[in-house]
Amino acid sequence: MNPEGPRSAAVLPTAGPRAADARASHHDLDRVWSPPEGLYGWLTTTSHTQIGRRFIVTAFIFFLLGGILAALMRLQLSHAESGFLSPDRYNQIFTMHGVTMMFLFAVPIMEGFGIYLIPLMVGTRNLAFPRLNSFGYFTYLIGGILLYAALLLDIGPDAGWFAYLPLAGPEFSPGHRMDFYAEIITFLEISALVGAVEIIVTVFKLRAPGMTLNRMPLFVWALLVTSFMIVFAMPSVEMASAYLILERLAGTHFFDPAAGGDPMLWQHAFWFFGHPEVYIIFIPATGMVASIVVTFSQRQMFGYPAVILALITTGFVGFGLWVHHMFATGLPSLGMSFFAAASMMIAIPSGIQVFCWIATLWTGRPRLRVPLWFVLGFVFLFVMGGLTGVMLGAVPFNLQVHDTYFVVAHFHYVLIGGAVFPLFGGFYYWFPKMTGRMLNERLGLWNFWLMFIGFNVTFFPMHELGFRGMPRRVYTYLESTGWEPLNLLASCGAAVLAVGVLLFVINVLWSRARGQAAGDNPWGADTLEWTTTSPPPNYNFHFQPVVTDRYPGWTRGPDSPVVVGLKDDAHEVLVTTTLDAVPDHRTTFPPHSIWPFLTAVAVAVIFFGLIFTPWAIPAGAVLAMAMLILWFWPKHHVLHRGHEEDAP
Amino acid sequence: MSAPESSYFESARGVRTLWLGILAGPLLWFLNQQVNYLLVRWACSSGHVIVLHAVAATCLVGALLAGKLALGNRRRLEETEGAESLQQERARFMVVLGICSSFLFALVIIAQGIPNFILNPCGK
Repeated sequence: MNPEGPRSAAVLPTAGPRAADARASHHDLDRVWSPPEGLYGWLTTTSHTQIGRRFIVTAFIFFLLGGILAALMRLQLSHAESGFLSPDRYNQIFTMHGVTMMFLFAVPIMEGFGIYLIPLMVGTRNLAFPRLNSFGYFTYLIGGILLYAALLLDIGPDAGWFAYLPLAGPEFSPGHRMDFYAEIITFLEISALVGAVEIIVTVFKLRAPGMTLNRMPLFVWALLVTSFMIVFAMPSVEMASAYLILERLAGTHFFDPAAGGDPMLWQHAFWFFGHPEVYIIFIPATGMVASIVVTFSQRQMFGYPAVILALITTGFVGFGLWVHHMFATGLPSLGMSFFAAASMMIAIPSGIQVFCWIATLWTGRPRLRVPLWFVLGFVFLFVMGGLTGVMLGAVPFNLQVHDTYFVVAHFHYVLIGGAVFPLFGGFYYWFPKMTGRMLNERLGLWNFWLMFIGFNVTFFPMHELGFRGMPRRVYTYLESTGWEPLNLLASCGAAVLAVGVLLFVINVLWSRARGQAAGDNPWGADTLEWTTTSPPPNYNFHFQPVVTDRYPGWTRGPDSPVVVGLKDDAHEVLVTTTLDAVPDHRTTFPPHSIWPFLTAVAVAVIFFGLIFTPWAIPAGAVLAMAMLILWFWPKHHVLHRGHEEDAP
Repeated sequence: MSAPESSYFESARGVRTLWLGILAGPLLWFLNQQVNYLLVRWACSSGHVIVLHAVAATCLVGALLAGKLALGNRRRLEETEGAESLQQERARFMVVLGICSSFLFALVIIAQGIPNFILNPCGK
């Protein structure tokens, strides 16, 4: 950001009635903040609403692809000794299913919602570092396309989304399959990291005046905690996958015990990221739940500070659980007990949140609309998944069911129940804001019930399959095991679940064209995004709002105070203080640019090239450096405007 | 105290004590877990299990002190006279978070300290 102007009354926007400033016209603001038209505009836009929508749509497409892979696995497993998929193909499919859902769907879609909603919720015009935002999207898109291209060319990763060593090492995974995994995962996570940094800075520095920490919407708190978790968790997997690259490309021995390495290093580094990843997915979902619960019960959140305490506690304790993925590796029992204790204690903050949501609904006037149905489904499924999570936190039980379908059932209850259901609630809730049209309610109810029933029919039997000893990640099983009936039932449930998701896609396509007009605030919601038009203009708010309480959507009126004095002929935004959101100075965001896209392509050249040759590093680095120089090259109009600002 | 009572929580020192209340508990919990996990093998080979207890006790005391600090901030807020400003409203929120966070993480440290009394560090 480029701070302009000192902290003085002459340049600081102040609160006042919106009629006080006639300078800001919709036309001028729209001209300044609108991206260019056509393909060039698509490649150059830095608008958070456009990039946020792209993240959401792209991630949903990957969700559908990951779902197709899951359906193929269920077809294979529906009958004993099925020959539908070869073992080799099955390995690629279950690996890509995990990689897709964790790296290409869950984290990007949650960040996508954050990128779209947070500037609107905190009352600013764009996300901090808008060009970085564009760069983040293109790294994500290119990484996802490369991974699926590998799968379609029969060189998809095949050692599981966790890529344990030595299986993923050069000795047991020759060829380029796991090179794709190591390179592309390292590349992809850049996107998550930059998204997190943008969200943190936006939340801390771009909040509307008056939005103190204790007035921030719970969704914003949730994304803030999530973003900090990403900043601390992702470097761990980046480091691990970089070591794996070196192991495979340069013949290093980080994980080779014969040469003084240790395969456990991979497991520690991976799960230090991998377990917080679960909460990186779950915590934004709780923010969605909180938004929906407050709106549809039409009352303030019961225990607002307690919910924030729960979010922060989960954010910290989530980093102290990773060894429970490694209980079967022969670690000292005392060491494991620390992690078992933490695994059980994390139920406390989750429980606090569940009780606060229930209390809010209980003491409010709940309106049972589709978003709330998804939230109620979430509470039921997440409590189920949470309970089996506490069971798995106990070392003896964990050892009994380790690597069985009980674990598969548990984490699908937590991840689909705990994240996908709230996410669908979020789709129904924010679709009117994003498009200006309502989703069809009747189709929505069918969508919910089919998903809810289909999900339980698919995954509940897996608990029993786990108890009966069915191991994970096997491509088939013998008829004599007796696992066939429950597997067939699970596969039937998956079909019902798939129909539910298909109904959602139909609902979106139909409603996008013919849905009922939404209006600005169709749900009577409490947060700032509902005080602007649906869909929001490119500049979000004609006048940036001034916040006077925690529920501005309910309390703001035509005469409520607004920020005046911001330029309408530049990408100018107001920067406020971290704790109390007091106006501090103005800053001008850079205009739309092609360089973030080209830089993402250059960085992709490095990682893609590294699959085949170490020479990709110098070649790609020169290219990337050239792109960065052009990206940051001082522009004439910026220098000129800075000169004007300094003039007396 | 150099700053006037009503503006204490706007001063750098006041803000530091508020953040300390919120963050000291979780950071000490994390420290306790990581250090004790690192020391298990050493405690097995050397027989000095007492060190594990010492780490847990030190972190527990630190978390409780953070809670005491947060409670002190609460008292200071209650003693402030006049209408509550925006900053005091925010400070009250941070104080509540600090008190709850400190004592909650003290509880987690206790939960993780109990196995030190029961399990043998050499046990597999």
